[in-house]
Amino acid sequence: MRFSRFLILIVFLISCTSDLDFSQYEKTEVMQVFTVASFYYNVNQKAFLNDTGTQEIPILFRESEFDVFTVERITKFTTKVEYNIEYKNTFDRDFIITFDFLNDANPTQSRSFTATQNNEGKQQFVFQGADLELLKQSNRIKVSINLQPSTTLLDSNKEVLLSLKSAFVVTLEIGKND
Amino acid sequence: MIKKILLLAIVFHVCIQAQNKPLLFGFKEIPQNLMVNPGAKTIIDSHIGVPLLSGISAEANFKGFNLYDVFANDGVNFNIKLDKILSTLNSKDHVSFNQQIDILNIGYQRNDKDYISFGLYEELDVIGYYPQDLAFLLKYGNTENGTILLNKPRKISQIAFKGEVISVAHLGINRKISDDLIVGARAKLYSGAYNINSTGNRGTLTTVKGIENIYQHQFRDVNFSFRTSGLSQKDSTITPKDVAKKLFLSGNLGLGIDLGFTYKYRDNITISGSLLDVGFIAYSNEVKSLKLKGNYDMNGVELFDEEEPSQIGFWQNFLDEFNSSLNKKETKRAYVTLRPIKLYGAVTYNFGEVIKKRKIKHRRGSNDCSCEATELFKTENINEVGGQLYAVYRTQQPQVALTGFYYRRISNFLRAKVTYTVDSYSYTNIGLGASAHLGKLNFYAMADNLLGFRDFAKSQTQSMQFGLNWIID
Repeated sequence: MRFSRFLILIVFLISCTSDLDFSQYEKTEVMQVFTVASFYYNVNQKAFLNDTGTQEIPILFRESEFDVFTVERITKFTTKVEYNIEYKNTFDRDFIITFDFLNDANPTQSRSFTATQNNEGKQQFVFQGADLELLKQSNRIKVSINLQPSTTLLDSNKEVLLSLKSAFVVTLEIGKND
Repeated sequence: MIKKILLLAIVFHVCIQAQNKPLLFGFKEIPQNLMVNPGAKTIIDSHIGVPLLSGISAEANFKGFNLYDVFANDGVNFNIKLDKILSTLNSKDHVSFNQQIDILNIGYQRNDKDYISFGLYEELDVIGYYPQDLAFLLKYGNTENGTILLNKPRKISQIAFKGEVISVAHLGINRKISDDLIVGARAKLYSGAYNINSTGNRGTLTTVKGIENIYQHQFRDVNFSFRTSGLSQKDSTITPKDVAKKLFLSGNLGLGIDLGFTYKYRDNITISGSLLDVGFIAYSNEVKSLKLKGNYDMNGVELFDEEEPSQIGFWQNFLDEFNSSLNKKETKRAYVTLRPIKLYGAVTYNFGEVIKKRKIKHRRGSNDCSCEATELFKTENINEVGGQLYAVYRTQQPQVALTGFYYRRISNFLRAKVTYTVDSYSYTNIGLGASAHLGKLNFYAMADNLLGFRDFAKSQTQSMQFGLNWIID
């Protein structure tokens, strides 16, 4: 028994622990950068012509929900959004492509660029600061493709394509401003 | 929340871990020796463990880092330390914790051959592995210095953790087959109070250059499950009474068996071994189960698709496709978990002075000293030296520990054992244990990795056991 007491005594006497501060984890700062595939489309010449192919449709648009910022964590921690676009236009015509971000029916942010004829290229829109705060209020997106006028009517038999690919690069900073 | 998840990923990247008890194994004066080898040599006639105090043990292990690395109050920016640790950990690193309390432990010599022991104990087991790829994703995202990390599979299989609180009612028999051979078995009835687990997962998440869109996010060969049962369904109102009730009356029952033997190979050489917790628990109480299985390629949202005009949002579209492609199923179906099987083996060499222990054995049913009696002599060497092996299969890989030991009978009432153990946590694990008999009271105390006691925060493994028994000769 004496030995056991001695053993316990020794253990307690020699045991110690360095100064630890478990509350440090509250100071964790995380910066996540996620690149996420976003909207894409391919439209050919038929989309810009009526059923008989005799009249052009100058503008196409789609409107859908934009619910990314309904996710509380994303809204709270996002500090920067880059919208990267790659396009390819084989038409002999330019297009003005517009992204209208809406809060219900009210515009919050709008960005547009020209996809020049027989060309491919890249476009980047950056949302930071006040622009980002407005973007965060958006719950709908309207994408418009505006066919630029020409004296020559589109040929319904000549296969041409306007394709658009895009990705969001979202930066989330957690803990920095908590 | 993300901070807590990260902290959980790093510190409690927790699987079921059974405690290695190299000091207790083969310590024949301690009745709880039978709990690690039901076929162990025992030299006591009967024992009654002091309720709740007969066997208390705890073990904590950190593989890959220690608490000091993360939480040292050293003025260094916590995030710098975190980045440093994240860069060194891998998916085999883990944290585990095990704790056992003997609620009841009783044993008696039934006849010349059999020693019966039974009781009830509570056990808490947690182990979690560090999900390296997903922790990286949580900390940094999938883009580095403005460049997306392409063709880098993030392994979902690295998500592996288990946690369990159970009670175990047991009944064991230790039978002396001959002077050279003792065998034993212990039947166990498990009652699971709480279980959480996500193991055996499979699959990868990879971002590649896309065809339809710039990138494609591929969830491939996914087979993921997450299950809980027991207390998890109650939010913040868990009381000790709830735990106690669930511990014994949860309805999550299971069966298991321990087997063991001790064989005297030569006069001075003994071989012993045991296989513990060969069993299962069927969880059916308050089960919540999530399963994902399949493949999903996420391209983004197609606009101007005349066949499927996109009217729902980007996020909802992703969730819907993800859930449907990966066949997301949330069920309350019962599930079975296997207990972590543990294996002990030992070779012991006895040497030194021989002690003769004289015992008068009365015929059964007689309490009159003048009646017919048998005089027995038990002989023991005062020294033992040997090697032990311990292995347990964990969710990611088996864990093995090798121990060398020296045991000495210091006096009639005091025995001690010193061990040196090599395992994946430490190469400097020196343990010390002692068992003392004061009258009919037996007290034992043991601690592994004594060097770690100098600074718990810097230790990667620490365990101790102690207990109090009433020994009746």
